[in-house]
Order: sequence, then structure tokens, then C-alpha cells
Amino acid sequence: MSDSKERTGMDRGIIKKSDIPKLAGERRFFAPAREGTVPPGTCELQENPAEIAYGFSNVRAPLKEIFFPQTETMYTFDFDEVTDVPIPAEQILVFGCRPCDARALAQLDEVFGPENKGYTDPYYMKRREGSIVISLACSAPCPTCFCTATGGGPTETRGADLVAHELENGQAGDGGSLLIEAVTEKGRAFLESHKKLFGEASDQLVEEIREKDAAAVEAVRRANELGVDLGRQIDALKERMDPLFDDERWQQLTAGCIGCGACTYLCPTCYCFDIADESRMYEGRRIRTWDSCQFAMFTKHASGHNPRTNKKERLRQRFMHKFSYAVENMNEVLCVGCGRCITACPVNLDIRDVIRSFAKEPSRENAS
Amino acid sequence: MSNARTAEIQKIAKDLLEEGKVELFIGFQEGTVPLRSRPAFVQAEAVESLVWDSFCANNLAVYLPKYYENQPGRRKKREKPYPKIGVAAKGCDMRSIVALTKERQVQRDSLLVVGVPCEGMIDTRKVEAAVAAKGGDGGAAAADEILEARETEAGKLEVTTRSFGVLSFDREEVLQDCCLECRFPMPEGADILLSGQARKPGDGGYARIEQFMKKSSEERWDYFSTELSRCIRCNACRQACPTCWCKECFAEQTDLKWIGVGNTPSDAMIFQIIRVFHQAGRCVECDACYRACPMHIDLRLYTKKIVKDVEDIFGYLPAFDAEALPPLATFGDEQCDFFITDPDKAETAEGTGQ
Amino acid sequence: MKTPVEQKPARQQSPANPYLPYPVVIEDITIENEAKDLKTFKLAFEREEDRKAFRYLPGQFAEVSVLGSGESPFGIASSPTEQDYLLFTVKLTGSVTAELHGSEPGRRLGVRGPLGNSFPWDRLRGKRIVIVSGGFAFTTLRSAVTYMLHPDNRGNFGDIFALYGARSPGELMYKNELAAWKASDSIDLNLAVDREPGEPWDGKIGLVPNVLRELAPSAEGAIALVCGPPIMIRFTIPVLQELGFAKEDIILSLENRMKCGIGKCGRCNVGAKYVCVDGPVFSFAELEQLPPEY
Repeated sequence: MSDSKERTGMDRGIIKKSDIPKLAGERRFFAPAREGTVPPGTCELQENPAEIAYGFSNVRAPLKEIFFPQTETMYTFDFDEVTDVPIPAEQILVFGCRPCDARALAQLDEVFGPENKGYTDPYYMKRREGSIVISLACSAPCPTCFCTATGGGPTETRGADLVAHELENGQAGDGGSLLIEAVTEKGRAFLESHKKLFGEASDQLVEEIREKDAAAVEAVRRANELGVDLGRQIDALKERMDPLFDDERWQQLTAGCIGCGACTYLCPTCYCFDIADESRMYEGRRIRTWDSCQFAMFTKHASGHNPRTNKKERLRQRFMHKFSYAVENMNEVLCVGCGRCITACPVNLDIRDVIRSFAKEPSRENAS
Repeated sequence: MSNARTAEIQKIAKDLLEEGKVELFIGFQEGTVPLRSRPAFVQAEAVESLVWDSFCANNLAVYLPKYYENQPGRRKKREKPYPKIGVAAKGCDMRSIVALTKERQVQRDSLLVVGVPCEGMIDTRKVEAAVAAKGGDGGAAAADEILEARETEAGKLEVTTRSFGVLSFDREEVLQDCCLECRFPMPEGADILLSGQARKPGDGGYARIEQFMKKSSEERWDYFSTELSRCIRCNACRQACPTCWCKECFAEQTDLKWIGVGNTPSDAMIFQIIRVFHQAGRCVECDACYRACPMHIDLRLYTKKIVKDVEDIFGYLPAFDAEALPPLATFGDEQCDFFITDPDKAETAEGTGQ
Repeated sequence: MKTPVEQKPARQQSPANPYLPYPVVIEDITIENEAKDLKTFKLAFEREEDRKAFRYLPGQFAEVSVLGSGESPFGIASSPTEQDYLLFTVKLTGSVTAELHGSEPGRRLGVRGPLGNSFPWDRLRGKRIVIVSGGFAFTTLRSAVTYMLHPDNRGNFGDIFALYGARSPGELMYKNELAAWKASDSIDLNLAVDREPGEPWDGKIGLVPNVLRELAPSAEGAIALVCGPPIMIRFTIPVLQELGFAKEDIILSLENRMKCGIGKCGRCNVGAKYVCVDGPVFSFAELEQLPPEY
């Protein structure tokens, strides 16, 4: 993978870990850190951390918090007149998210962009336009991740502008460095504009990295075999789940659910939201906030009628949305296999059980 | 011990189901991640999946009201007889069942409680913190360090880790604080009791509250607002709590709208304040809310405070007596009523009497 | 086999901010029924360019915004042929509608739209139209009938049969329009009330599905538009099928809880279809393929 003279910008380079914050410039800078009240053994994407954390599997919360904040003012009003429409124009740099989260961001781009039913969400898209995402490739699976089953992988590049790999001691001399490779035009331009911070990366180094990548992919695949590869056949689960919508297995799969929204709120691709007005006397704002299909009130009509009255129906909706409806509407599986829902669930409901349960059904095409 | 208890609970459940004494048995099965067993809803053919070990921390009483409610939209009283449900219960679970009985959310006589004298449950967070500490400087990624965890006959917890080999802990080192402090590990009033001893009762853990109350109000406010700043309004605390059973939570009302729906700090704080106050006289400190919170908010400090306040002021603690009604649900002659009869009366020592 | 319902009316590109409502003013408020919980609001755009941009077809809806209370989706009751205003009929059910019902002419509101798909006008051209409706679901059908009866459009359609039922005579909406349509040769309007009204009444008596069976409009070259409460729809569809209507030729309008109205917030889906963009108009054939979560 050598530099091509026709393309503008830089393809790759080696940068010291200590220089990463210098890439931020004027941008709002987010990186993994352990400051403040983060529980032991975890880290999260924090703004302008004093020290960037490494040696973690994944950050607590996915990227959606940055681009699609949990509570966002859409506009303010005074009495009956709109006074301000704060569409964000900020520039953002994210460093250190995992490839699964970057891929999730690409999926949210589809959701909030015009391909999804023709409308564009300006609040999300404006932030995205001004952002650069540098993901950090994984070298080993963690017990709850299954990215390869959903069509992703520990080293994939979709959704990131640049991908970073940690270099070991001995590679590129002093350890404490990263290889950063550009994925998009934006990424190449970004490297070019910061080239003073980068040293050259040899072809041999890159080759070593590619070998490590292949080993990581293999390791994840082996660690979490779910009986389906949605990368190879995106509707593999859809074609099995659609005819089994009323199947009694849903009752057993969802029996323990207590109906909280932890899974949806920590999920990188769950995006349902509510719109509400908050006002005091005559001044106020219209806000957008996260909402969850797991909440009982989510679909309740003003008349009192509720199309989904029980937890089984609501939990089924979540899985059907991710593995069937999104495939139909956007050609995406809205799950990146990050495993946060598994660790967050207070009753240890496991999305992998659902996937395995349907994956073992015969394919409709092959059914005799 | 846990192998013996697993076998015992499987046998009891099997007999109950086969004899038709219950239609469904709610217990625990092996979890899909280390250090977790998870709620199981079994019928006769699935009793072999039941387990009992030190990872059975969930409060199973949270599932019960659903079996006794009228169907949504139907105003007529239940016409079918109530279903017969079997449920495994530790001390805290049993106290929740009693609380729900008092509030008419479960029919005690169609519930068959299999009591487990509780030895305490292991705190996954304590184990994760201990593993993280091995990594030094803020810690390794605890969640994926832990590959496997098992209890030994000798009362130890052995945790197989990726980077640090097998670590061994004494149970007491890694038990949940609510278990160390628990005053009621024996589920009194259960219909069937598993064999074995419960742990010795703890002291209730009020010392921490007393310490905390010595801090200035600025310090206490600072702690509360910092903890609650992490709240994402996921409602896991509310949903995990057996005595949060309201069909429409105050937080969801739109008419009147008490709090907003987002995670604005004041909304998050008021939500928790009101939720804890609604639990006064009802909370059994099972710590289900604390465990459920994905942001690790220190909810148990505040639930313990409300429990202590109710005990101090009313001499009441929700335990096993279904006849002892919660103080906020009763109003007797001996209680003060000056706020009705003489609202201008200044708050004197008499005026604020019980 | 998916049956396309119709094309959406040509919309220019998505507005820059589809969450921002157009400002409108209440010109007039009419109480529609005896119970006084149904009011029709006549709204005028404050800006001419907004009025021009708001090109809609009967069947579509809009989100009416009351700043400080919230938004609610309502079917558009006016026809695009009534160019100077929009009509929405609002039932008093919750906090936003309470705010609306307490309003006076002159108050400024907001309107976002037009949203959703319309009745399948491409397919309806040249056909006979059979309209069946009950209760306060008649709103978008007022739009449809006014549109069809307009001299510019009337020639595009065959006979129009309409059956509209309510609990009692006082609960029928749009009494002026109903009177005009009753007198008109261009439409065969039949009104029904559930039971003996205890006042002079020259319409039918009985529940809508039963009256429909009695009147038995022909299905020959016809498409049925059905709007009503779920229970009415459930009993009307078999009657239409008895009369010979094919599933693709029975057109329904669904309701669901909606917020964004533009297919983003994820709330109103029935299976893979979002009621706010893929609907609210669906054929019965389409609905049968969807999970019964509505």
C-alpha cells in the first residue's frame, strides 16, 4: 500500500501517543479516559482528557452521545414565536473509538440522512459534517463482542476517517506510538494538514500490522460463533425471523426482561427519540431526547390504545427492528456486535441467545 | 454447598410442577457472562436448567405483580382463578413479596414461595474492581479480563482471568455490601424452606449514613449531584425494583408534567429523589436498583437513608409481617393532625410528633 | 407480492430543517359536535411562501404545533382546492389538544408538513369511489370528497358513494358540507346513526358495517376508502369483501402514535413500514402482510 501520487493528502504515518491531543487544534476533542467518576476497569470518551487511556476493550458509551446528544435543544421559543434554532456548527475530533462504534456511526448516518425516507436531520448531520473520527483497531475479542457475526470486524474501517493501530515496543523504535492510516478523503486531508506530527511508516510495518489484523479477525470469529454471518448474507436472520413473528419462542426469550431501557440507551445503533416542549411561563424550548421502544408508553396512543402492551412484544420489536426492518428499509443490520446490551442488562438477557435461536432455523429458500 | 442447593431446588421445582401445585416456577439459571446467574421461568421439562449459587442476586419478586393483574383495557375483575406460581426467594425477595402482598399486588395464597436461607450474593463490581486493580494505574479492562468464575466447596471464589491467571477470593471479601449488612437473610414465612443455614444477620449498615450525615450540606449536595450527573434516565432502577409497580410512573405523566423526559441534571435528580421517597416504608434494600444501574450510581446510599429515616421516625421496617402496614399507608388516632385542624400552629416539638 | 399503493405528491427536496414548523394563525374555530369535544380549526399561513410550499393531497396529515405544549398529528381536513387555509379537526384527548381547545382565533400555532402518503389518487382516477367512515375519522375524507367534487376534478372519477355514521345526529361533523352533499347530484351521501336518535332523523339507523351491507354499493370498477375506529374497520372489511372488493382495492388510513412525522424517531412503525412516511394510507392487502401491531 504505497502512496499514490494521484490522490491528494497523506495515506498513513506514525505518531507518538503523546502527540495525539495536538491533532485536535480548534476542534472539540474526545478520547478514551478514566477521569472523574468512572467505575474501576472501565473508561469512556471524555472531552479534552488530561490523559488518554489505552488497554481497554471498549468505552462505556458509544459515539451517538456526541453526535446525537441525549437531550438536545431543537429550538427555543418565546410565547408563540421561535427565537433561536441552534444547529450545531462545531468541529469535532474523536480518537480511540473501536471499529464497531465507527461502523455504528456510519449506520446512524444512514438513519438520519436523506436515504432514510427522504428527510435529513440537520442537527445530527451538521455535527457529522464537521467531524473527524479516528478509530482504534482491536487486537483481541472480549467475551461479549460478536462483531464478525454482524458483518463487521475488529479491524474494519467503515465509518472511520482514519484507523489507528497501537504499535508494540520494537516496532517503529520507541513503542508508545500508533500507526494511523487514512480511510476517507477527509482522513487523507487531515493527515496531510498535520504531517509535521507524523513519521514515515514502512511497507514492512504495514504488512506486520495486516498480519496481526488477520489474526484478530480469526480470534473474534472463533470466540463468538453464533451460527450466522450477516456480512455474507445481510438478511440471513430476517428471512428466518419474519415467518416466526408469532412463534412461542419469543415468550421464553423475553421472559426475564424487566422493561428498563438500559440496552437501548447504551446501544450504538439504537436511535429512537422523543420530542417534547419545556417551558416556564412563556419562554421555553423544544427538545429532542432519547426514548426507548422498551418503555411501556412508547407507542401508547392518546386514546389509551397501545399496540404493544407487553414486554414480549416490545422486546420482539427491538430485535425485529435491528435484524429485519432495518434490512428492509436501509439494507443495514442495526447491530454491530459490541455487546454493551449484554453487560448492561440487569437480568442478563442476551441478544446472542436470540440470534442463535433463529440462526439455527433452516433458511426459507432451502426449506424442503 | 451450591451444588447441593442446585439439586435441591431442581427437585422441589420438579415435584411442585409435576404435582400440579404450580404452573410455573421462577428461579435462576446459569448466566451467559461470568459472575451472573439470571432469572429463569421454567416448566417441568426445563427444571434441569435451574441453579442456585452465589450469583443469584436478582430480586425475583419484581416479576410477580404481572401474574396477578387484570389485562390492560379490561375493567371486569379477573374471571379466571389466579395462576399458581412458584418462586425462589432469599430474605430480601421474601420481604418484597410481603410488601407486595400488603399493597394487593400479589395474591399470597396462590404463590408458592420456596425460601432459600441466604448466604449472601457475590458483588460482580467488587470482583471487577479487584481484577482491575491488578492491572495497576487505573486498571485493565475488567469486564473482558474475567473469563470464568466459579465457587469452590471451600467457600472461595476462583476467577480465571486473561492476564493474571486464576485469582482466588474469600466469599466475604467480595460479597455485596447489602448482604454483609443484611438483617434478614432468612426468608420467614416461606412455604417450603431449602436446607442449610443462612448467614449471620448483619447490622443494617447505618454507620455509613451516620458518617455521611456528619458532612456539611455542601459536601453532601456535591456528592449527590456528581453521582446523579451520570444518570441517563434509562429507568433500570425503577424497573428492577419490585415495589415500583405503578402502571404509570409519575415521571411519565404529561398532565401534570412533573419532570422532563431528558437527562437534564435537575430532571435526573428530582426523578431519583421522588423515586426514593416513594419507596419510604417499602424498600427492602435488596439493591436491585443499585445493581441494575448501568452508570454505577451510588443509589444504595439514598435508599438506605430513607429506610433509616422511616425506622428512626416510625419504628418501622418492612419485614415478614403482612399485617404490619407501612406508616405512610396508615393514619391512626395517635398520629398528629394539626396540619388539618390547626394549620397555623408553629412547628413545635409537639407539632412534629409522630 | 407488494402492491404499491400510490406515488407521493411531488415534494421538493426535504426542507432544510424538517422539525421547524411553519407559523400559522387561527382564523376561525368551529365546534363540530354536540359533546363539544371536536373542534375544527381554520389556519392561515403567515408567509405566502410557506403556503405555496405546503402542497398536499387528500389523505395526508400534518403535525400541528403549540409552542410550550407540544405537537400532535392530525389528518388534513381541508382540500387542496381550498387554497387559502388549512382545516384540522381536533378531538380533545390530552394536553396539546386541551391547549388547542382552549385557544381563540388570532392565536399563532405551527404546522409541519404535509406528511405521510395520500390516498392513492393515481389509482383512483377513472374509478367509482365507495367511502365508508365512522366517528371522527371522517376528517381526511372531507378533504377527499371536497377535492373530488371540485369542478376541476369531478370528471376524473366515476360515481361516488359515501356512508358516514356516528353515534347520534349531533355527533356528525361538517354539518354544512353534509347538507350540501346531500343536496348534490355528484355524490350519493348516506348518513347513519348507531341507534334510534329520539329526534327527527331521515338517515339510516344502525352500525356502519350493517348499514353498508344493507345499502350494498357495487364493487364494479370501484375502490373503497375506509376511515374509522379500529372496531368499525374490523367489521367493515368483511362486508366489503362480500360485496366483491379485492384486498388491494380496500384503502385504509392507520393511526399510530407519532412524534417526528418524518420517519426518524422510530416510534410509529408497523413492521418495517412507518405510518408517518409509508402511510398512513395502506391497502388492506399491504396491511395483511404486516404484523398486527397497530
